[in-house]
Amino acid sequence: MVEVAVETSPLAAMAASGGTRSRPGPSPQQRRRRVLILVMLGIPTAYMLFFLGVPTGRAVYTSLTNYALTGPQAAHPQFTGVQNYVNLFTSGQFWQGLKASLEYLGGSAVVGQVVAGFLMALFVERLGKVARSVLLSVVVLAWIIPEIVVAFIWSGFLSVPSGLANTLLGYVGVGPVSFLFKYAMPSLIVANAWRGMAFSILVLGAALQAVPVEVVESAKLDGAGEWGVMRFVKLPLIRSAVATVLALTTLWTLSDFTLIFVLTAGGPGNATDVLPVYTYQQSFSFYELGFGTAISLVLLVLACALAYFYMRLAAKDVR
Amino acid sequence: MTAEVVLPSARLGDRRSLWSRQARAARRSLPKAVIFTVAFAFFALPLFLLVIDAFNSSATVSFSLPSNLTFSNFTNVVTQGGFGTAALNGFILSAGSGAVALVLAALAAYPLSRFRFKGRVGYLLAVLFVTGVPVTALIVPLFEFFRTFGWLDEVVPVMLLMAAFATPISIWLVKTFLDNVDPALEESTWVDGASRVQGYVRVVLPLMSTGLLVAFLLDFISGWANFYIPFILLSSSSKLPIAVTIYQFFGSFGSVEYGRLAAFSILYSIPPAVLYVFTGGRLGGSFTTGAFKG
Repeated sequence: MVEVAVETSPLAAMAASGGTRSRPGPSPQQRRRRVLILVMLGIPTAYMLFFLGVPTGRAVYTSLTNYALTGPQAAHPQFTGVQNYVNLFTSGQFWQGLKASLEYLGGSAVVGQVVAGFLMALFVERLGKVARSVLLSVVVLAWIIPEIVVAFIWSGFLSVPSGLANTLLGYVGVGPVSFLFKYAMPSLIVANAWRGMAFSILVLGAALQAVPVEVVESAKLDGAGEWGVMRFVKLPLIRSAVATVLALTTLWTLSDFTLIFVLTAGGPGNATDVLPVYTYQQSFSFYELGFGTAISLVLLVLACALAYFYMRLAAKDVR
Repeated sequence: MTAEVVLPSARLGDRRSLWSRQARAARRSLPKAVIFTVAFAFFALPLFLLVIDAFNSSATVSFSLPSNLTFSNFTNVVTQGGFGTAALNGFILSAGSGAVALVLAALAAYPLSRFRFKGRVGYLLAVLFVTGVPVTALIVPLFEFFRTFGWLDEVVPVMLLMAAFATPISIWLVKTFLDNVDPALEESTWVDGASRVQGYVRVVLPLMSTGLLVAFLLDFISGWANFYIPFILLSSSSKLPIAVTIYQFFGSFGSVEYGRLAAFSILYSIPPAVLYVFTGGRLGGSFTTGAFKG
C-alpha cells in the first residue's frame, strides 16, 4: 500500500522531483503536486460525501428517534434509542420482507440470471452467427429498455384472464392463471430474469471466449470429455467473472424496487414485500420515517456487505 | 467419425449413407433448434406484445391482434399535454447529471492515473465500493436531507444528487481510459511551459473524447431510466421527468388505454436503445473491468 513517488516516465520524474530525492522536506514541485492531488481528488470526494455520506450519517441518528412525516413527532422528534430496531426485529412483517428479498435473490439473481445466464452463454456459443445475433438482440433489448417499461410489458403479458401468456396457455387448454396473484413471487422472478439475464450472458460469454483454445485442446488430448473440460479447465478460468457477475446481480436484485412496486406493490398480502418496497411503504405510505430509516439502514448494511465482496473481487485489477 | 473411413468413390455412389449423414446432422441440431425457439420466444414474445399493442388503437390488457395497424397511439401520446415537458425534464435530469458526473470524474481520474501516492489504491477501492451502494437503501435519508434544505420538488438539487450516484462509476471509467493515454503526450507540452492542468485539458482530454462520450452516455442512459429518485423527490407535474409521468399514465389509464401506454413506452425506450449502440455495448460492462482475467 505504501507507495513511493514513482512517476510514469523518466522525464516526468525529473520534472516532479527535480532530481533531489535525498533532500529532506518537500520541494516546491512536490508541494505543487500534493496540492494538485488534494484539489483534484478533494472536489469530487467532498461532493460525494455531501450527497451520500452526510444523509447516511444523519440517518443513523434519525433511526434512533420517533420521527414521523406528519403529526406532533414531525415537529419535535424524540430520541427513542434502539426502539425502532427493537420494533423492526420483532415485527413479523420485517422478517417476511427479508424472506421475500431472499426468495427474490435466490430465484432471480442466482438461478434466473447467473445460472440460467451461464447456460444461455454456453448455448449461444454453439450457435451460428445469424442465430446468435438474432437471439442476443432480443435479449439485449429486454435489458436496455427502462425498468418501468419492463414492468408495464409484464403486467400486460401476464394479465388475467386473456393477456398474451394466458391466451397462449388457453391454446393448450390450461388456465387462465392469475400469475400476479397466485404465483406472485415466481412471476417477479421470471420478469426480472427476463430483464437482467443479458448482463450475465454477455459477461460470462466473453469470459468463456477468452479461455485460450490451446488450453482446451491440450485438455482434450489428455482425454478430457466435454464435461471434464468444463469442470476442470473452463470453470476455474472464468471463476472470477462468475463471482463478479454473482456479486453485482445479487446487489442489483436486492435493491430492486421499480419492477415489484409496479407489478405487485408487495402483495398479495405481504408475499412480495421485499425490503425496498417495505421501506417505501413504511416511510411514504404510513409516514413512519424513523422506522423507515431503520429498515433502510438494515438494507444498506446488506448491500454494503455485497458491495464489499464485489470490491474485494475487483481489487486485484486495481492498478 | 465414421465418415473418415468411407472412401470418396463409395461416398459418391451411396445415397443411403449421404441421407443418413444428413439425418444424423438433423437429429443433432434438433434439440438446438428447440432450445433456440423456446429461448427466442421467451425473450421476444413480451417485446412483440408491446409493439403489437402500440400499433393497435383498440388495445386493452386482453391480447388481440390489431385489425389494422395505425400510428394513432403515437400521435395521441405526442400531442397529449405534457409529453414535451416530461421528455425535456427527463433530458435535463439525465444530461445535467451526466455532465456534472463527467467533470467530477475527469478531476479525480487525473491524480488517480498519473500519480502514485499513499492511499491511492484505497481510494480506488472505496470508489468501487460506492458504485455498489443502492439508491433504494438511501432514499429515505435523502428525502430527509432534501427536506432540511428545502430542496423537495427542486429540479437542480435532484439533478446534482443523480450526478453524485453516477460519479463513482464515471471516475472508474475515465481513469481506465486515461490509463491508456500515453503520458509522454502531455509531458511534451510541459516543455513548452504548459502546466500539468493545461496539458491535461488541452491535449489529453481531447484525445480521449470518445471515452468521455461513452462515460457520459452511460450516465445519461441510467439517468433517463431512473424512476425512483424523481418519483420520491419531485412532485409538480411541470417538473416530473418522463420516467414518472409514464408511471402516472399507467396508474390512471393503464388497463384502459393499453395501446397508448405501449406507444408511450416505445417512445420512452428509443433514446436508451439508440444511445446504447453508440456506447459500443458497454452498458453494465463497465462494472466488470478486468473480470475476464483468470
